[in-house]
Amino acid sequence: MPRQRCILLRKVNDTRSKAALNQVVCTLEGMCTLLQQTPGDFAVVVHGDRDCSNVLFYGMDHPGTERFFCSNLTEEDAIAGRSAARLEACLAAVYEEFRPATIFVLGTCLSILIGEDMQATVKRFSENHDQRIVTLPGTGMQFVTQSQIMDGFAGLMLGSCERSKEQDKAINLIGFDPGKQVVGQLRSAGIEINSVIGLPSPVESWNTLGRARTNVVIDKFLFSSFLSEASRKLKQNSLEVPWPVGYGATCEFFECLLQEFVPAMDGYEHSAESARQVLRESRTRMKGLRLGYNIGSKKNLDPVTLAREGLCDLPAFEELGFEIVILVQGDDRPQRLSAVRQTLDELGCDHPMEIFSDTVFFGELCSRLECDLVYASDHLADQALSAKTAFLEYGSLEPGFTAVKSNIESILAALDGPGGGGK
Amino acid sequence: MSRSSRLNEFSPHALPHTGLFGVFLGVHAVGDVLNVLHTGVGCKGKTQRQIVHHDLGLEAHAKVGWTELDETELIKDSETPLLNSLGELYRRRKPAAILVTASAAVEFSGLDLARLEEKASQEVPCPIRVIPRAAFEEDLWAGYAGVIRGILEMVPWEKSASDEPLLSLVGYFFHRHEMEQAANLAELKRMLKGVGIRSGQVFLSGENLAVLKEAHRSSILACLPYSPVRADELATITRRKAVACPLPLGIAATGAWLGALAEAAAIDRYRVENFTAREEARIEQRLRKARGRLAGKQLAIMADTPAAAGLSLLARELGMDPVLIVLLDRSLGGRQEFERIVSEVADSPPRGTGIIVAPSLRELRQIEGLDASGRPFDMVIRPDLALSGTGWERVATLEYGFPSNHKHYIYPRPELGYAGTLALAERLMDATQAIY
Repeated sequence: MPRQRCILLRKVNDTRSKAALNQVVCTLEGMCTLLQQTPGDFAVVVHGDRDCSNVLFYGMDHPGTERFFCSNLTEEDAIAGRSAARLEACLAAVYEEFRPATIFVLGTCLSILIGEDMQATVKRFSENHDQRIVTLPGTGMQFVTQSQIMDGFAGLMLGSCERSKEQDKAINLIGFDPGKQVVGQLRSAGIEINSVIGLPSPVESWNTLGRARTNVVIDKFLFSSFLSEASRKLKQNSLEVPWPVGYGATCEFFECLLQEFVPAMDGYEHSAESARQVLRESRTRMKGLRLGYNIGSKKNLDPVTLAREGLCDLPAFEELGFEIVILVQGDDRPQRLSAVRQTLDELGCDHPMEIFSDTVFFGELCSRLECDLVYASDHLADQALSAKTAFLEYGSLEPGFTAVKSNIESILAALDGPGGGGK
Repeated sequence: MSRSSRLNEFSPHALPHTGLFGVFLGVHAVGDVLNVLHTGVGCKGKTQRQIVHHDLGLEAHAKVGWTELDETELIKDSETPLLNSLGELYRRRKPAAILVTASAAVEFSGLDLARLEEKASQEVPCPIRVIPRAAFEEDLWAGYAGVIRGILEMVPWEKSASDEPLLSLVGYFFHRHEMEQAANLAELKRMLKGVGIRSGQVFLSGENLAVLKEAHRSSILACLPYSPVRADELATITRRKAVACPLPLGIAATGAWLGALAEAAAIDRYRVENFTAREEARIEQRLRKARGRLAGKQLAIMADTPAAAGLSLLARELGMDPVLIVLLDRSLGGRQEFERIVSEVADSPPRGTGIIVAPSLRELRQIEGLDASGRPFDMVIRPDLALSGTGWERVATLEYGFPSNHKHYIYPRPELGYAGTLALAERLMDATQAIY
């Protein structure tokens, strides 16, 4: 395994990226957020000014902060050319006392702005220290999408994976966890699951990826660089499946996997039947109600939320008979609108769309469109409810057949709750 | 320098925010003011995202806007994106004022922020204030103070004050829109009324800018410890009487607070003494019950300097033994200020108390919730710091201050004043119990 590596994020110039439905994020913030939540034997050095270590999210549910360090560059360091020396001193301190398996060195706006050659510093440091160091210079002040970050992060984790000599038929689920029940059903059907990698997952889980032959994802676009690197390095295939939420998409999910791996098996039919029944009964109430389906608002580095530009849960509402309008947050200039429409079309979504350029306009939009329910990002709840529109939090639907019933109950509860008035 | 201190040099502070976040928090504490970040896209994460779990009272997305500057713009012309953003954000959100901050990287580029403020003020139809070097400020309180200073500058002090004595407070740390803050403000007002002082504005208190600008009616201004200026400076700026006062946390500090304000308002001393005696008598019987549970317990306190001093005084009043004080700020005076407050209010300096000033997160984690002799503290009062996985998790904890991601208030339960003394005593009693 190489002791020094430099990771660059993939370049993007495609319509989906231009549509900017994956909210942009800075490389440092994105990588810190994912690394902070990833258990494992590593340290992170942020090479920048003191304020940049504040992209870490302190406190609740984020116990990994203590592995982070910052070169704490001052104006004088930057001007007097002392920044590389600060980085080297920081690396030395981490090496001497912490001695982690890997040190990730992350660049910042400042390190890019002053043209810091982090690789050269790391190389110099490595002449006298036996330490694995992975450098991510970052993109400075350039925008990157969350999917670029997740792809880059997966690439970072892939760095320490080795191909297993006895690679078997097993699969890895990358970037999504369909829940214990679905995983259990797949296993019962004879599909061997080597690793379920949500983001974040422990480094140890990533390290076992090489034992499987196929990486299963719900959106190849999200992990395009990772998948090609896994193909090159670990000789793995990749397979795209739908996110198994709602009756139809869950059927499709099982069909994709069973056809690929266990052609003779149709083990999901029994559990599908009760879900089909629930769905049929619920359509009467939901049919014709107007649903505002919100995309482009999430900044959470959650691959399930961001896969298919946020449209993963859409089939669950379509099959219930809602009249759907897509509510897109962000830039409302014509160039972007065109990219958004084209992206939706490419993803097979032909529902009408409306743009709101700012969160403060969301309530007004809900009123104007006379939405009965909005499925939207949590921070839009107050806006929706103040417009007397029923609200269901984006991402609250659960995967699998048994969840079809509970998902419908959640939708009904939202329709009966504040803003809904029992429509 | 020891090896561990070398690593501590690079470890984030236990509460590492700079003024960039502090300014945002200050803006969050004024109803209709907007913070615009002249930064790259990532700096949003240093502001609004930091209070998502701390403040359930107000969604803060709409309190911040940003220019999302890229490198080309920074090199060629970073003024235009800011001016465009200010205009557009004004059009969308109609704030009463906009406070602009820039990231360290942007400020390194030598941008003339003062000139930008002037230019923006001509183009955008609301007051614009640039708060320079926010990302270099020592801590969040320095940034928060910058907002108070900016708002104070917008008050038309040249207008006349009210004929009757009216007192406004400068330097209240309003860090979220939850009910403990409402309760604190109500308690301060109640106590002032109790001694015959009419209350004016509180900087900051969640009020709109127009309400705060009414502070010109005040004839007296009281400087709480989070004030950006000393009382004499405030008097010069406002041309009004200004007085310094402690944070009214605990019985003695509350008495001292009332005494200082009443003296400034020329209230009869006996009236104040009567009020404080009555209040103290009212809570004493209940505090006795709390002392029965709490006396002798060894306590660690992690807070900013004024709050740590107040909590330490309160702990002693409850018979507890505050053996370790961790001062989380880097701009509010540190050890010297802590000792000054405690000595002044309690008439005796703190003894036998270990004081750690602005430690790194690493240092704090290494304490593991143990005192110098290796015995676990009985209790700790602290915010939600990144202490998971250490011995601190095994110490009975009362969450206090910023960030409080676990403790939320939907019922008005104060921390300040006489009512706050009782409420905190009750919370301390709760913290000693596994079931409550």
